[in-house]
Amino acid sequence: MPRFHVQEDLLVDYASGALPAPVSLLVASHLTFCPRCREEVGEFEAVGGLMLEEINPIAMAADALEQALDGLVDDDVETHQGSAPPTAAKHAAKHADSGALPAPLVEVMRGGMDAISWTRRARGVEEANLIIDDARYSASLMRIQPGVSIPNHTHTGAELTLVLRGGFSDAGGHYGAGDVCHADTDISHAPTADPGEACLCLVVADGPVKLTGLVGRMLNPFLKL
Amino acid sequence: MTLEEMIQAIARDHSRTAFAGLFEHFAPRLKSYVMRLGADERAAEEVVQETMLMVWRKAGAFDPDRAAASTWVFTIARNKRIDRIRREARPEYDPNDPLLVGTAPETADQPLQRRQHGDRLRAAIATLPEEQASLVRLAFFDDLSHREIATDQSIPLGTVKSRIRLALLRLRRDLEDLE
Repeated sequence: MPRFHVQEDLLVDYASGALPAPVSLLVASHLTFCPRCREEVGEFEAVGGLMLEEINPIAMAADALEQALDGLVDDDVETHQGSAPPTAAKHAAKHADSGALPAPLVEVMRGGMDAISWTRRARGVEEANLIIDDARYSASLMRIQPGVSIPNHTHTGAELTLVLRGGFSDAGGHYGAGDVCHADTDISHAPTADPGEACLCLVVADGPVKLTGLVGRMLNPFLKL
Repeated sequence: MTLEEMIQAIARDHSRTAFAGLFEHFAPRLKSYVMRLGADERAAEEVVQETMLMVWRKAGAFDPDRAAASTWVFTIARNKRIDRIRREARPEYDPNDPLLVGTAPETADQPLQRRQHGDRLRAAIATLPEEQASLVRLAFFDDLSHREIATDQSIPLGTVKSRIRLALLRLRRDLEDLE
């Protein structure tokens, strides 16, 4: 069970449907690891359900029900037992080449891990942009080789990092699989990947990153983290 | 027949009568919900039709021990609406994901508690101060993130966050008081 969670306001926005796609992807991926946040999202969705009950109804077109009934096919009703195995099988197939990643992420990656083209950002640091249509936020995968530190940097906007595999440490503590690290404009951090295994993260950012410190400033033109 | 039983009747008997009952209840509410989020009447009717078709297809996946009918239908409509706006399907965790970290097994009385929870939540929302209730409504019905509510209402983001948090905390506390 993760120790670092998604902020509550993001869980509310996830439940109401107001989150931009990249942030929604990160939250859904965290939920895969986190029963506690799933429970919370369920509570907020119940609030949504109640809101639906209390809303003022607006009459449908006169033939709407008839039209709906015409569209119903008996065989379309999926049985509970029937629907589970295909999903699991679909995953097994996708996971074969993506090596256990949360389903919402696998969905976005389409071609799986093999189709990802990595760009080297610094020694031992690679990044691959994920194609998600959004005007404001970007999503990318980041792979940090064991023991490698990312130069000290601050952010011009909020940045969320979800650990998918391996782990890293910064001044805030140690982050393992499922943990979410929130970085904001006033936080300067230099995360260091755990020794042993490369650390794979999903990073969702709002605005570009500014590097601080001498090495950081020198790297800055080349390093678009 | 309760709304929950109607969904189960679809799963069990492919009951068109039950479907019609659900349609009568939910379709006008869903239409109102989708229109409030900015869709025109024609688009809203389409989202409602798509949502109700999913209710028919997915009825077997409905678990009354986990969610009330209104909650389940709300989540389907929410996703259908988003899928329409975006090219990508809404990211959702998959309960069948082999990676899913499980919850502890439920005790026997948890499903019942969850069902009673809904009634209490209803009562708690009814007693929220209007200002808090309207923020919760804004969050769910005007498709505004916390950030956008702040702009819309000309109040600082931090204030919106703390007011909604306060409203939700109050809801939770009211629920605990009643238990």
